[in-house]
Amino acid sequence: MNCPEVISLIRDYVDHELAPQEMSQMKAHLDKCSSCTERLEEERYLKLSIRKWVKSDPAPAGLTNVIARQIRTQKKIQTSWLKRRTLIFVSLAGAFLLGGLSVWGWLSFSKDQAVSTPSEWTRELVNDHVRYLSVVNPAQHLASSAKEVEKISLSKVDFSLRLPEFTSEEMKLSGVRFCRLLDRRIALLFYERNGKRLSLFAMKDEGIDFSGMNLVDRLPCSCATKACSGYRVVAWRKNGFLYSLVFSEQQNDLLDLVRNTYQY
Amino acid sequence: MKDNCEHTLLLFEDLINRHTDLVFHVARSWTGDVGQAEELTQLTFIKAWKAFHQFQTNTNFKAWVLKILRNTFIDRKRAQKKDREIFSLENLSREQEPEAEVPPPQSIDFENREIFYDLFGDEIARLLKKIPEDFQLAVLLCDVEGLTYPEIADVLHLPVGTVRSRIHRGRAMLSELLQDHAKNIGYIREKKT
Repeated sequence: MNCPEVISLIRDYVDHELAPQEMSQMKAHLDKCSSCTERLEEERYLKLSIRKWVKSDPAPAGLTNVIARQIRTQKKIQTSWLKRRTLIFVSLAGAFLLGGLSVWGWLSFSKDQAVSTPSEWTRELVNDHVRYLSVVNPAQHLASSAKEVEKISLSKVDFSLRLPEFTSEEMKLSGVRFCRLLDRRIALLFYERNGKRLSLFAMKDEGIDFSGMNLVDRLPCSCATKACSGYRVVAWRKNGFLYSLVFSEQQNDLLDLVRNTYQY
Repeated sequence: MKDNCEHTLLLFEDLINRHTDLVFHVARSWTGDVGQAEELTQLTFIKAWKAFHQFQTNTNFKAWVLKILRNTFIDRKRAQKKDREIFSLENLSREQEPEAEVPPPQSIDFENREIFYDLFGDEIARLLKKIPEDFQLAVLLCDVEGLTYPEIADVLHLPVGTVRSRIHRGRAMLSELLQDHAKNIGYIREKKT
């Protein structure tokens, strides 16, 4: 290797990106050429200084904790799913001994017990929000307005769904899916706001109380909020429906959004 | 079994602590938006956790998690069809970009190289911000994060030749800015030819 060849490969040499044969040829030349060694030292210093002084831009404070909490929540979902499977398996085994009717009764009892308190209820909402957060297109039906969803719902749920129309233009509805939560039929609407996903759960208002949640005043309807695993749930009753909006705790201005929607 | 699961979770939380800044930095560089970068970072780690059983312990976690970030970013952009025009895939295509001639490393007439880098090293981070973002990212992944050229090519979805060119050109640009700075403060002399 001559000097121009060595100089042209110095950066690859510093990065250890040359084939072993080239590396030894380079080394042989550098051992006897002070001029090329000087260039090598220059490049080495530059690389080492970049490593020493440059850092990735810091992520926003608290992001690491939010991620860790989300993953703990995911783990709980998996664990709870496994537990339920085990429970069902044991119940079915018992059915052979005790009879089908008693097992069904016991199963429905245990299911009712599983989500009886407000904290468990908000956790279920957050779990569902997080579960669909990792899905790119979670909606079964695309829709861009609440009215559109209400029309779709006519053939999907056995009640006449009424939804809030958010006044903020930042709230962009992407679609809806109809599923079950707490053994109730619900509509789950997905919104995007400034690149972040929000979930709105709409269900008939049947017996879920707000005890254990922080009540919100200055609204023409009953409204409460609760933080859970890095997320916030805002729930309110209107027109015989219970609506629950779930979003990242960092979007703390969303309570105002709900408030503005009902400032007639 | 439960302890084992908890141990894996603790291990993963440690990896989150050590890599959130990097994933966020790359995500912000691609999206140009802090909010979207935050969400991409969250989704990336949730996906990484779900696939963590597939991660091979003797491989590079940084490269692995950045590939998940890249795929998540592409999926999201594809889903937002209305933004297709904006999503040029400039950073994420396998197309060869023209490889400009990279100037060879310069020999600089330092009074004392070691002292110069100790005294003015903190200028490096500031000056690096002045070079185009694609080049910054390639230099960061190579020099700061220690990824190899093929690993960076995989993360950025670029040919290895383009990655090599970006790293070399990025360093050459940085070196030039550094020399200008050193000349301005009278630390090095113009070299006579």
